[in-house]
Amino acid sequence: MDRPGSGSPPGSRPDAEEHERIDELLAGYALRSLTGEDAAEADRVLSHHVPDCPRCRETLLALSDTVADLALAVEPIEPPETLLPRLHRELEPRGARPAVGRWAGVAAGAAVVLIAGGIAISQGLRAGDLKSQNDLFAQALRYAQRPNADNARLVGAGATDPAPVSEVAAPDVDYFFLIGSDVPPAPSGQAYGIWLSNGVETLFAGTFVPGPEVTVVKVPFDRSRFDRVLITLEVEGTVPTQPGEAVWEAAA
Amino acid sequence: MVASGAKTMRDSDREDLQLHRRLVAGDRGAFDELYRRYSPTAYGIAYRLTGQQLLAQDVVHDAFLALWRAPEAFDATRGAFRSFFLSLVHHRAVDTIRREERIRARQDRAANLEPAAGEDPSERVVDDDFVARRRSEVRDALADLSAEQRQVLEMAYFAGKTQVRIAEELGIPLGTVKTRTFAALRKLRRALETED
Repeated sequence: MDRPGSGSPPGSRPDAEEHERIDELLAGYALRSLTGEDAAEADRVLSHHVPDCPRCRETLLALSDTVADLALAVEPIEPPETLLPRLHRELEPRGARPAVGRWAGVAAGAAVVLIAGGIAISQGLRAGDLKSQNDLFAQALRYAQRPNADNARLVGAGATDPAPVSEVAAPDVDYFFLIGSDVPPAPSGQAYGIWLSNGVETLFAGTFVPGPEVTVVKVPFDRSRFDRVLITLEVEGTVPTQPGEAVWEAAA
Repeated sequence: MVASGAKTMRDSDREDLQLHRRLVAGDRGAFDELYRRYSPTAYGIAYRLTGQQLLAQDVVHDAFLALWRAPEAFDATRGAFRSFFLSLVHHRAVDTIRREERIRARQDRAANLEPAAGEDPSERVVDDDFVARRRSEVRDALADLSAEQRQVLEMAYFAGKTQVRIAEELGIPLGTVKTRTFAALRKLRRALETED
């Protein structure tokens, strides 16, 4: 019979046997122990079947909860005392954090608007958000005026297509900006993820939520650890632990 | 260690939700409180999987930083914050050890739940009463699994091994690994549900 997520016609319902197979797949997924075709099949099931199947949604939730509880079987250990201060140093103010969906509403020609000393209150933005957005965009403008700042357009992963996102970086600064212009929305059920990479390890740096016209994101990073930035497609509403499909990339 | 008649899971989950709301608003105090609540468990599991303090620190660091940067990724309709965050830590730890194949040799000890040699479980770690109770319940539920079920679960969760690798190491069909894994999780779930 058709397998959910692997080409089954929309609206077709898996039988009990097929659901048992999906249960096993979801168990492996919850444990992060799938590879190869099983992992690809799980992705398909999660994208095309689970969202519309109450039974499987409930099963996935129950399996995920159970797997998470396994962490409690291990003796807790206090982390080194240096870890929290290290985190504190990297907690950028919320208004400047990389996930700046609220930034998305900056009106067309934001630079012009800023120069004019105001900003259009549109796209449902709150006044408090607007101030931080103004501040952030002003930061980006000042940053771009540094003598050693470099403005480069990202390219399509594995291709030379120019991306609708540019990066403004400077070699002596531990953050950079991503500036998107008319970035298309991510496909349904997906979101753009920002990743830092050094070719060996990757670190999720937040989400890139494009607005209707201009989107600006400030990305703090450890320059000694990472040298590339990727924008990927991730499952919406999750914090991914490994990069999804790369869409655009550039040296950081 | 376990206080009786104290906080329930619902109380604990509700407090987590309140802390998460404050976190979304950029409240660093909420971040610190979530760190206090979850860093020992997160570090414990990260150290168990990676076998290295520095890697474990990176796992916990990256998980908390991701939480700060994308708190909206937690959706309360999809489960408890505890589940969300501990899954995040576990996934990152699994990714780390798969990247760091050279530390595989240290994973032999990960197949049991005893503290690693030289590891100080730390008397300073004082769980919230609910968490302490839950730890006991999870360990009891694990102990009640059949040896075969517990084996595949421990290899997958505590050693971060893929199902294909588990099948190879145990010399059993991949389908058997899948069946045992689901059966183990279902039995655990039922045991823990009755404890909720």
